[in-house]
Amino acid sequence: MTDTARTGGCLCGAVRYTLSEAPRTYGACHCRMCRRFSGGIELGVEVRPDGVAWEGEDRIRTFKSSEWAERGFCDICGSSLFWRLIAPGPMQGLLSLSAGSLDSLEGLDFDIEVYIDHKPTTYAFAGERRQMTEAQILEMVRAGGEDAP
Amino acid sequence: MSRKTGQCLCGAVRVTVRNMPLRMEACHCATCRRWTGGAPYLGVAVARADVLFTGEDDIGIYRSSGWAERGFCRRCGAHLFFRMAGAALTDNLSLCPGILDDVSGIVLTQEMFIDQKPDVYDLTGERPRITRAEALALLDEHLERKGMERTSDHD
Repeated sequence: MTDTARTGGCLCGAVRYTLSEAPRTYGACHCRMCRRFSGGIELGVEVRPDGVAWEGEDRIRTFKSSEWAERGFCDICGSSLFWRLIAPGPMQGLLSLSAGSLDSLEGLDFDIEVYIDHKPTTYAFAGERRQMTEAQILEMVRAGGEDAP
Repeated sequence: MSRKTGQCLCGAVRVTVRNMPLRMEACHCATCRRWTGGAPYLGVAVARADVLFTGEDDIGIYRSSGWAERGFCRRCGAHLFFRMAGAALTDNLSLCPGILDDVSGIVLTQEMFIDQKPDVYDLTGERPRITRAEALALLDEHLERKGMERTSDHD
């Protein structure tokens, strides 16, 4: 298996991080909030709460975008860094790390697209992978699935 | 051409665009991927005179190179635009379509820095896909008209 990048950071370099485990997969979210946040197409890598060590953490600004999540970005260059689950529960602190911030995407498997029913029709990623609609996501959250977002 | 409105995630910055071009471009360069946190970057080239921002005090500007800068909301981190800066200033800016309330009718017509695109994703469809060298040649032409010279190879 190819070695994947465990390090990354923002555009200006003020914020850097190291992951405790090499990521294997990433996914895209096409929801309205992710589209507003990213300036492009949001790509994320799931990282468990204690799975990242930050440098320059004092430059990270967070914005609570819903009752259960916040988003982090560099307050100097504006680079997106993460979506983080803040709702109480066993998964509290789970990160969807902004995949574009990784030093390399090479070797990662693009395995899911969520909120696919919110994707503008003018672009689409090539290839076959699991796709979930908003209704399917909300159903999964209600069911308390262990991989709830 | 039409009128479009939009806003950042928190609503501190709002935008109204008149004469909205119905074309967007994608950029796969490493700088854009780092900034957006995803890929690719998406932008609509709009005339600056046709763009009205409110809440401008909350717009953070980051100068990402000698000739360009990027705008974001300081409160929520929403990405707003890329534009030429300083002496390289143009009449246009590249507005991130993600902030628009409605992107219907806007078609993806070009991809740039296709040779910097990681192998792990591709967009479907047929459209011009220009390389880094081709994009930088266009940039160099622009800078030369402004009496400037490129001093680094990223944007």
